[in-house]
Amino acid sequence: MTAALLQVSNLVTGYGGTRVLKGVSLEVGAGEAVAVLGANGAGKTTLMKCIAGLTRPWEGTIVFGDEDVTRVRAEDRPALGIVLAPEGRGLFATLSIEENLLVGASALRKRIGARQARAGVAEGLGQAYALFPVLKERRRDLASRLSGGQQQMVAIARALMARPRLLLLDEPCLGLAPKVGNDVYAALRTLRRQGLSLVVVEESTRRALGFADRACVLKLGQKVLEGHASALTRDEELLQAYFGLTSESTDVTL
Amino acid sequence: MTIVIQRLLDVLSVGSTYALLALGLTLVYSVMNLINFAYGMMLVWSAFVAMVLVNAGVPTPLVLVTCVVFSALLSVAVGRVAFRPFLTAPPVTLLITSFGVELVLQYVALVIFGENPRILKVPTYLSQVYHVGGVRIPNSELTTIVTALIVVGGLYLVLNRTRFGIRIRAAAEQPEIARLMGISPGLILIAVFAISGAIAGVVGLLWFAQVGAITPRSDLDPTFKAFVAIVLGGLGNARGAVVGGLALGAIEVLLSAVLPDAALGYSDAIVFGSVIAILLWRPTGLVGVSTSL
Amino acid sequence: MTVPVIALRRDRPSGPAGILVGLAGPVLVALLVTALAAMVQAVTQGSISDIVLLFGINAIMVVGFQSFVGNTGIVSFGHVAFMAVGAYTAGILAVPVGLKAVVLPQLPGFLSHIELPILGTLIWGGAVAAAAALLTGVAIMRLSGAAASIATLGLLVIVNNILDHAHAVTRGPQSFYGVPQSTTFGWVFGSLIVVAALSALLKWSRAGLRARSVRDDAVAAEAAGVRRLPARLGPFMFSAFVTGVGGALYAQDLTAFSPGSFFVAQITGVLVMAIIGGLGSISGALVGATLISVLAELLRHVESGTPIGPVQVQAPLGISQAVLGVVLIVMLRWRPDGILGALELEIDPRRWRRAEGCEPADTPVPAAAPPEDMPTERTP
Repeated sequence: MTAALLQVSNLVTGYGGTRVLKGVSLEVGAGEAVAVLGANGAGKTTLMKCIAGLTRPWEGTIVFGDEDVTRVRAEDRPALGIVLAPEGRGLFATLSIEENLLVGASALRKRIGARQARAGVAEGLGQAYALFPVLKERRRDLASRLSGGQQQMVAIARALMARPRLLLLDEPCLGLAPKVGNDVYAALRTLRRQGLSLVVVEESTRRALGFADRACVLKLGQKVLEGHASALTRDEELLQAYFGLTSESTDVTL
Repeated sequence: MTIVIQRLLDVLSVGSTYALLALGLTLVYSVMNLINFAYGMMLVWSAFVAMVLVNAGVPTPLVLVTCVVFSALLSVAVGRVAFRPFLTAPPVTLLITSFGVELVLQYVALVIFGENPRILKVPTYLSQVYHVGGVRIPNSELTTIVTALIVVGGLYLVLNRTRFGIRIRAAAEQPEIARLMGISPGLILIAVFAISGAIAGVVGLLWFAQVGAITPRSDLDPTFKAFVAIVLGGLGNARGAVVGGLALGAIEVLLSAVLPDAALGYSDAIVFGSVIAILLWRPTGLVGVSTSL
Repeated sequence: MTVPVIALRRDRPSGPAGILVGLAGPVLVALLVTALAAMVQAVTQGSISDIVLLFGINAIMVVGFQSFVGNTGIVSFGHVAFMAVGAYTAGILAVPVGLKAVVLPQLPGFLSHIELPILGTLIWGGAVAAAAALLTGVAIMRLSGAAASIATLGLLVIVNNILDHAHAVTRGPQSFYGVPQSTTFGWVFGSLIVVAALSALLKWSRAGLRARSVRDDAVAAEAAGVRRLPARLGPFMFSAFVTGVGGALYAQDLTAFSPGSFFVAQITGVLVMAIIGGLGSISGALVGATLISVLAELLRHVESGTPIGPVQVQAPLGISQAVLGVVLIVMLRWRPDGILGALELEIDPRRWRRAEGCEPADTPVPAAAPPEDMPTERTP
């Protein structure tokens, strides 16, 4: 059995005196796409932030590849191959699209070495514009001038500039029209086909189960359900009824 | 007409000094909420180092380089020791902390150099005055303007055309997200304090070359001017800093030209009064964007 | 169930009786400070009377400073301006008419015939300072917190500039002398108790509440109908009044001063005292004033060379400046709320009676705790 790419074990963390995660474990295999579901406040974003290093775990470990990265600082994780595209996209509004992408490549030198990095950046830009052609036309525009959907494209492209082995996405369709969300997921599918491992926090159970290999549900800081997407799909109504997950609009394509 | 050009040069000279001051201050403010009360002391220290070196016979170019490097290092050291622990603190806390830092830096200067004014010997060519078509162009003013253009231009290029500069801007805007891209906040801080310190080093030389005498307590004037310039222009952005500095220079020069002799003594009061009046009209500054309250 | 009659509380009981309860604590602390000073006077047989009086005046200044900073969250670096206004106003009014002709020969007519006893000078000193606060406050209090702090520095520069040049009224940069030494222990510490009580009244009044709501969240306050400018202006004027009274007492203690006596350096002590005590607390301000005054005295002895235990210690001149600077930084780093934070000493005799019957306490008035944008703990 191949070792998992990411092994999160018994993560406990929170803010101030409040515990948000109360012992969460998660495994992601190489090339796998895992969806994280749950109601607001369940701890999904906190889990992402822990894996990315922005939040320190109080207990538990995070192992990436064969390295224990639990105590590694957030700014050192992209060099290892862990990249988070945060909730709300987090683009640099005063920077242009291309500048945003360039910033995304900041860790490339540490990741693949100085000599490769120059070429790597050019290559990354090329791939980004191939994946999202509209960005190429507008690459000198300020990021704040884009629509929500375009901003999400930039966020994903920016995350890709660092050549991640594991891409974390926190609610990629937040605030986007369903059709735009479909476009986003189409791009994510392309990435999956290219072998990228993904963890996606997703509000829409339908989208999540239609896209991911496996899914898990968080509730009040604990993982309450986990399984293969196909198995869970059969119980979708159950999921919605018992775990308060959102109901869908009919525009969602799987 | 010649008077107009004369005044314009005065405004540009005074204004660009203030603009540089404000720029150095704003640079650090953009990455952490620090409005540095001790900034004037960086100028004073740069001038004192210059004085020591000049008195020891060190050639001018070497003095310049040494002062700039010294100021950059001093700024990084102070940033690391005194300000870095307050990285996420609110602006008010940092303002008070920087006041404490000013007290300490001033005390050390007092111990080493004493209370009395010390003369900074300025190279004679700076005192030269050119006459072009009836206009008096003091070399000191010309030097100031040219230096300011070089510094501002250089900073613009670094911030907008280099990867390093883009990363600084990204970290200034969203430090947490910049970390997710692999940008180390510690390195950004060092870089920003170093650049800010270097600018202070340059302005210190320009400032005290004009004033002529240095005391450890001469820091208040540049600190005030810098503060007023950034508030006038709009806190937190580089353009505001430059605009604010130039505007403050314009107000000062024009007032001194327009005021009757009897009122000249009150020029400081009138200048700041005007600034406050402008702020009544535009509370977030001339270029300011209304963000938080 | 025993409930302490005297405690440190963050809020006060509701209702008018609650205001009295809220008042009692700071007044008690002021009385304790006065008693302490009186003891020192008695023990030293008045030989360090000038130090004791200066301590009292400093305490008044800190109470004044705290009443503004605590309620608005704006650190007024330029507050010394009001001390200067109070000092010069009192000076002009107090110099005996005969002496006025010599000291202030160009004084305008109506002023040159006036000579006031100390009470009048205190009230006028405070009033003129408050008027200056009103005049400048309408502009300054619109600005954001940090910008307002900087603007108060501008105010100090303006006042300093005017004092330096209004020769007819202030003797310009020359020493202003001839002020009778009317300041006594009674006037200083009596004023201290009065201003402590007034500051507590402000803190627990609706005005104080409104100011603190703007401090905590100006947008939410606006939505609740509290406008920024009037909310801040009240504490600004009150604080200026108190500081002006302090300046007036100062003038009639020193009897001679100049504009240079009132500049940025003078805010150092007040600032450190307020921070140590806790920017949100009147009781804290008094505690901070006491502690730092003792420290400053010790440092002064060390500067002039005194044995501390078996060791002869001598420090370079001005070490107090460096020490205060370090104290400031260290305090903000490790205990930014100061000793008392926003807590006040509270004495509630009603609780004693209630404790015996064990009835539930009534609802307290909302907290005076410093919010996120006051110097406070960093979030990890």
